Amino acid sequence: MCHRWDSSIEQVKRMRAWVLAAEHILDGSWAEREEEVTNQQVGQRFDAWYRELQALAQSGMLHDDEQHCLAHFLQVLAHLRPHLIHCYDVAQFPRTNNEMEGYIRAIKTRYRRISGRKNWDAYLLRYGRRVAYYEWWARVGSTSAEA
Amino acid sequence: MMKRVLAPVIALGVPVLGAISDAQESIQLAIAELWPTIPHQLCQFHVLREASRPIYEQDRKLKVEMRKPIQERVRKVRKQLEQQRQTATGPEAEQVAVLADYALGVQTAINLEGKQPFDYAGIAVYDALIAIQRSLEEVKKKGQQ
Repeated sequence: MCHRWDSSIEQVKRMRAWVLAAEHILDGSWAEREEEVTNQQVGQRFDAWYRELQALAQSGMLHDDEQHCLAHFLQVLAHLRPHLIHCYDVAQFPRTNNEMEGYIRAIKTRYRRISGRKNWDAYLLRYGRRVAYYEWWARVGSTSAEA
Repeated sequence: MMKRVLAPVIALGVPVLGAISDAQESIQLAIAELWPTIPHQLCQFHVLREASRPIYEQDRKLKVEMRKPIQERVRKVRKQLEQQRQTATGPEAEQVAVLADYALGVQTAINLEGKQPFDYAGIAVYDALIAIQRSLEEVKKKGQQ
């Protein structure tokens, strides 16, 4: 039933492996000790891996779709590389802003419900500062006040 | 505009050790101007999401391609099984219930979702369908023994 898609799926899996390899380098899980994860170390690994992918792109061995996807992948990484690896030398510096975006999204959802509006822009303009301050206080301020 | 948005942060006078943002150029320029010496990290999740966009698109097309021929058939099969279930008794009822579970499994499999940049729906659908196919082959083998 499914075997007619075997080769297409294999191709997508090969391409996904590039994304997972990048993530593996960037998440630092390859390091035996945390101290090894520095901007320099991550940068060196990342650049070496990037050169391997570049060689693959130039090898002429890829299917047209893979070639197109790899060209885009390499182009974006090269373009954003100057700001890609800066977080490792500063303690507790996050490498993604997912947590922050999730936090803001949760606040927005909660206060949209509190405001009772589908679109809470007007509410946000009027009370946004207080909402942000209260949420910050509820998260951090109350614990530091107790201390 | 971005500098105006960030002005209250500067007014706080707290030391800024670093900045993290998605890959928006306006934010990059504002941070470079306001805090030229701090490390500015782009969100790696956003970067990989942007870099993998065509790969994800290809996977999505593949999912649609896989789902199309199966969707209509599985609906019909489920409807048919539902009708059979109402009249079947004894071992036949058990058999129909098992087949209904498989059909539901296929329906669920073809509707699996992905999330960029790491989870791919097409791959998930394919792997789930293969698992169902293997399981059905096992059942068939046992039935023949």
